[in-house]
Amino acid sequence: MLTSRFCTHLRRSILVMAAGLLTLPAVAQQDQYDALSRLDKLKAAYVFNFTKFIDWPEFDRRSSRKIVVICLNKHNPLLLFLREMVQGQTIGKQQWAVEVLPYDVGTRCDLAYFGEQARPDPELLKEILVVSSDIRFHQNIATFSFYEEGKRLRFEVDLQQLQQLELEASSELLKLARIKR
Amino acid sequence: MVIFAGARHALLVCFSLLPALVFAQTTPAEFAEMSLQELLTLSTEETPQTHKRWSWSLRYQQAQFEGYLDGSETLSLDEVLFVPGGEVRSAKNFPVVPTVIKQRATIFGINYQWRERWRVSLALPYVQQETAHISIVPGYQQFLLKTHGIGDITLATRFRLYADPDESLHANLGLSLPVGSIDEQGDTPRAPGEQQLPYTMQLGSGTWDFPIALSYRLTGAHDVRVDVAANIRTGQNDRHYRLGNRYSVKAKYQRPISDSVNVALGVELSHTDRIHGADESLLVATAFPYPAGITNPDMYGGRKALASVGFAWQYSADMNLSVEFAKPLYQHLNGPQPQERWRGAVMLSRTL
Repeated sequence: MLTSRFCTHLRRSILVMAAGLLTLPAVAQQDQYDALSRLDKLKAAYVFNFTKFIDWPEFDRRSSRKIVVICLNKHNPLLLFLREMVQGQTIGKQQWAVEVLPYDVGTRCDLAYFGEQARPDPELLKEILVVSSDIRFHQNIATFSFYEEGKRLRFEVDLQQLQQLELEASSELLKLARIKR
Repeated sequence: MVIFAGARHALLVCFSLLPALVFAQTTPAEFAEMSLQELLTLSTEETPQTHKRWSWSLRYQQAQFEGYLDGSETLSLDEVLFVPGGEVRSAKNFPVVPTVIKQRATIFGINYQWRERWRVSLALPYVQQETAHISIVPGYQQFLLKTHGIGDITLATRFRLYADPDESLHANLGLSLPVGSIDEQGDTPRAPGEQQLPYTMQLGSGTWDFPIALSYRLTGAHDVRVDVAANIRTGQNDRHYRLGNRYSVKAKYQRPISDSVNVALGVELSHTDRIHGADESLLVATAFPYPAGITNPDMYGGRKALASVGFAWQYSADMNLSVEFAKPLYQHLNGPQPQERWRGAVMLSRTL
C-alpha cells in the first residue's frame, strides 16, 4: 500500500516535470549570431529602442504611415540580427510595425544606422535620422552617436539635428542621453 | 518545528539563496525585450559566461531543535513529560517526549536561464531526520527514531519584474510536487512493531504546494535584499491533513571584504500556521489521545525571528561557495513545542 501510494505520487510528479521539461527545447533557441560582438548587439537593441521614443510623423512624404523603417548597410552583419529583433514588434500608441531594410538610394528610411566603416553621402540623409555606431564618426550627420563609458554603452544626442529633421524625442529618452554641445 | 517537514521551507530558502546567474543576453528576442534603462546597466564586455544558461547547486543544511516553548515561555523536559502518580495528566504533558530533533537536507538544484527575464529551476532534496525521545513506557525510556529519503521535488520559475542600475524586483513562483513519503514508520511506544511516525518525521507534505516570493534588491554602495515569501499548501493529503502555510520576510545586508568574498548579515521574521486536519493513526484511544506533543496538529507553527550571518566566496568565474548560520532571536510557538536552536547551510554552485 505504501509503495503504491508513493508510486502514484511519483507518476503524477514525473508527468508534470516531463511537461515542463518538454517546453524547454522549444524555447531554447540556438544562437545564430555568435559571430557578432556583444557591443554590436547592444547597439542594435538601442537602435530599436530609439524608434520607440521618437514621435514619428503620421504622414510621411509618400503615404500615411503604418511602419517605421530602419536601414543598415547591406554588408553590416547586424542587419539580420536587428531584423529578427523587430520581427512582430510594434511601437507607439498606433502600434506601428518596424521593418529593417538594406540602406540603398531608393529605400525610404526613417532611421539609418551606420557602422564605423560606412561613409554615406550626407546629401542623401537630409530627411533621415542617423545613428552612428561611434561618436568619432559621422559627426555632421548623426543625431544619435554611441560611446563607451566604464564598460557601459552610452549615447549622445544632437538636438540640432533632431530639430532639423522636425522630429521630437521623448523626455524619457533625452534624460538618458548626453546632449551634444 | 516543521522547517523540514515536507522540505518545502528548505527549498524555498534554497531558491531564495541561489546565486544570481552570470547570464548575458544573446538572442535578438532577448534584446528586444529590454528597455533603455536595462540596456544602460549592461556591460559591453565579452565574458566567458556569455552563453552559460545552465547552472547547478548543491546545498547541505541542518537544523536542530532542543528544549520546549509554550508561547514564549520555556518549559523543562520534566514539565512536558507526564509521570503517573506524581502529577496530573493534561493536554500539555505527555508520556513520550522528543528531546533533540536533528533535520538535515541535501538539495540538488538545477537552473536554466530560459529568457533574459525568466529562469526555471528544479530542486531535488534528500532528507535525513532523527529524533531522540524519553518516555515513561517500559522498554522505551530512551529511544531514537530515524527517517531518510527523497523529499518533495520543487519546480520554480523566477521572473524579473523590474531592473535598473540600482535596484531590481523579481517574482518567484514554485510548484512543490508531493513525491516525499508521508508513510514513514518506526518502532514507537504506541504499540509493538512498526507504526506511523508523527508529522515531523515524514519526508514530504503529501500535498501540492506553491512556494511564492517577491525579491527586492538594492545594489550599489550598499547591497540590501528583501524577500517576502509564502509557502501556500493546498488540499489535504492521503492521511487527511495539510501542513501549515508559512509566511516570511527576510532582509539581508551584504558587503564585500575582498574582490571575491562577501559577508552578509540577515534578519528573518516568519509565521507558520498549525497543521490542518489530523493523521488519526497517530492517536491513542484514551481521554488524552496524543501520546506526544508532536502528534498534536495544534502544537505546530508559531512565530519566529532569526538572525543570520554568512559569507559567499566567488572561487572562480563559474563557481561560488556560500555558508550561512542562523539562530533564533525570538520564538512564540504553539506549544508545548520543541524550540529551534540553530540552523546552518553550506552551498556550492556552478554555472555550466
